[in-house]
Amino acid sequence: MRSPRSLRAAGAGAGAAALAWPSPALGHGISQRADLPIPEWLFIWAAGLVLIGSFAALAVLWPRPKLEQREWRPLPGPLARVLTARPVEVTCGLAGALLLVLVIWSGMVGEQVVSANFAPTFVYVLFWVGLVLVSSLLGDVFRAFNPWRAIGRGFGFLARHALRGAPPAPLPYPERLGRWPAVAALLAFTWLELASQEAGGPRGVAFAALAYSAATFVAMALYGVEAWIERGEGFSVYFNLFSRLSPFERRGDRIGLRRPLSGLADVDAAPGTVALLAVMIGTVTFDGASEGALWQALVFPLMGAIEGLGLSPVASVRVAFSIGLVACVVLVYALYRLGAAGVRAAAGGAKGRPAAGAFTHSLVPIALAYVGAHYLTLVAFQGQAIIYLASDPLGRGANLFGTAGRSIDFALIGANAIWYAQVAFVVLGHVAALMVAHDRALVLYGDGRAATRSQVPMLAVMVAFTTLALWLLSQANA
Amino acid sequence: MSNAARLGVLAVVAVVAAIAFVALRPSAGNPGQAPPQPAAQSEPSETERKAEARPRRERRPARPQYARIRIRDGAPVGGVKRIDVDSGDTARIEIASDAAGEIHLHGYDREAQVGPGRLTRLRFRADLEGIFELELHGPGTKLADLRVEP
Repeated sequence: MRSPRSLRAAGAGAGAAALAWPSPALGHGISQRADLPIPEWLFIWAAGLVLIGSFAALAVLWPRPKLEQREWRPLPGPLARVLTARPVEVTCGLAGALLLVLVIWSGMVGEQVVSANFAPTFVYVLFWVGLVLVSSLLGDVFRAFNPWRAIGRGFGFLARHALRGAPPAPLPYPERLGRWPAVAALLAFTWLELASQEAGGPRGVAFAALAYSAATFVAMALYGVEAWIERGEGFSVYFNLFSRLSPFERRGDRIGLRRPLSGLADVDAAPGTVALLAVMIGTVTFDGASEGALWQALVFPLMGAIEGLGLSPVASVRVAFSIGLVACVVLVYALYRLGAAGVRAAAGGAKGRPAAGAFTHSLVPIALAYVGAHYLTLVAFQGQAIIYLASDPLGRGANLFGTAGRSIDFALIGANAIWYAQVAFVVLGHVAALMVAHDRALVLYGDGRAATRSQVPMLAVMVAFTTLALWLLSQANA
Repeated sequence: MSNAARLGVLAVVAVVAAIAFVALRPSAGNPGQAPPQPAAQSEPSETERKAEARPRRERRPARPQYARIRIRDGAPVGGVKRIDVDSGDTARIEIASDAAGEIHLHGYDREAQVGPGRLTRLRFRADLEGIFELELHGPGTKLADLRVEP
């Protein structure tokens, strides 16, 4: 066993090499291991399963809505109350705020080596991907740890005491703004991770966190903490959408159980919601595609053309990746709109036309399938890096918890198990999306047959999304 | 449709999926999911056979075939090489360089000195599956991808 420190320093010059060559996205750039593409036979088998399963589902799905009731029962025992008690809430908020400070500090002060600094691995792997998996299982955990919410509420508390009365009421949140601020935040974040090249390194992460915190506090001061958390704060909106898949939900001061997926039913179609989901799915699509042969064939002519316009090589890589990122988001957005238009056309006459946003919530399980299948190994392997990075957040040889000498166990999961898990994510996400959309169609159209008929265009769109996900898994690093 | 009919459809789909899985799965592996196991089970004789069947240049009659990487002016000659190894087999890589330096294989965490007038050889059992980068320390130039397939 050699000291992992010298090994981690290996990444030191990677930034310089990336200047001339389009590097893989930072999220994967941190990683010392890349996934093998899923083999062709598994791709064909999984795609076939999706097709057969979809047509079977049309026959098997239930004739009465099951997910649209708001059933909920509190967890038994004291746990339901303890988790929401004031001291627990304050402690979680404080922990979140401290982690934000740690990210900014280590990113600013620490070694500017992506793999040796706490900030990039924590933000891109544990926070951005890990919390998606946790939220989908355990509910809206981020709400408790949200540093911006905690600090905003802390300020509100202090202001009330200092002013000896209520501070001025916040402005009403403009309905037309909907989820658009969150769309902008998530697109900016994914740009930093996937398209900015080395600008998304430790210092880039720290600057982005500072700028985003400042913007969030201003918005919270204007519209109130809770209103901004619900609609405008990108990460709150992002993790909250995934938490709707979970069977756990907090109501008032108690945590209770609901039917899994039933939390999706009350995702409202606020402006920007479809765009938000398109960003969530489209950016993962781009990350997958950028490891494939198609993008490798496209990116060099594209960069050449951009350089021809007089841009530097670095800038041309950045612009080319930005174009790819946005193109994937637009593709996903257009595909969903096409399906929604198809549903409206198929439903036609009698019952009136449902809004285009009526099926938006069915994209959430698909988004989980994309994130889960694509980033599973990033969390499983690179996520382990946090054990040694926590001991040495700056990458300068500290050993706070005695774990700085640890390394990543790459034998944790074999390639076969990874392939099956990836396929399982995609197929189960597809099935969940079908169920959710079917349930909504039952509410809109009343009887089972009309609902099933109306869903054929949406089914086609979902099969397209699912096949795209599988294709990306079979193309990456092929 | 009655509930019994629904269950019937589900059962048929499950059977069709299971048959498709068995039919499409390459015959090599044993059915069922036992991913990390096969690495430890491969016979040494098979290892040798595979190593010899590999289509590499055969300048010398030496038995083990080394994947060859030549570094000139800080870059791999002929671009980034792809080295394929089956999980559990022995990976053999040799590196020649026109300048002194250190190479590092990610994941397997192997480092070695390279330099003019010497041939650096890496030889190890490839038991971690995935794609791992071999790079030149310092500039961080990528030399090769080691692909370990199950």
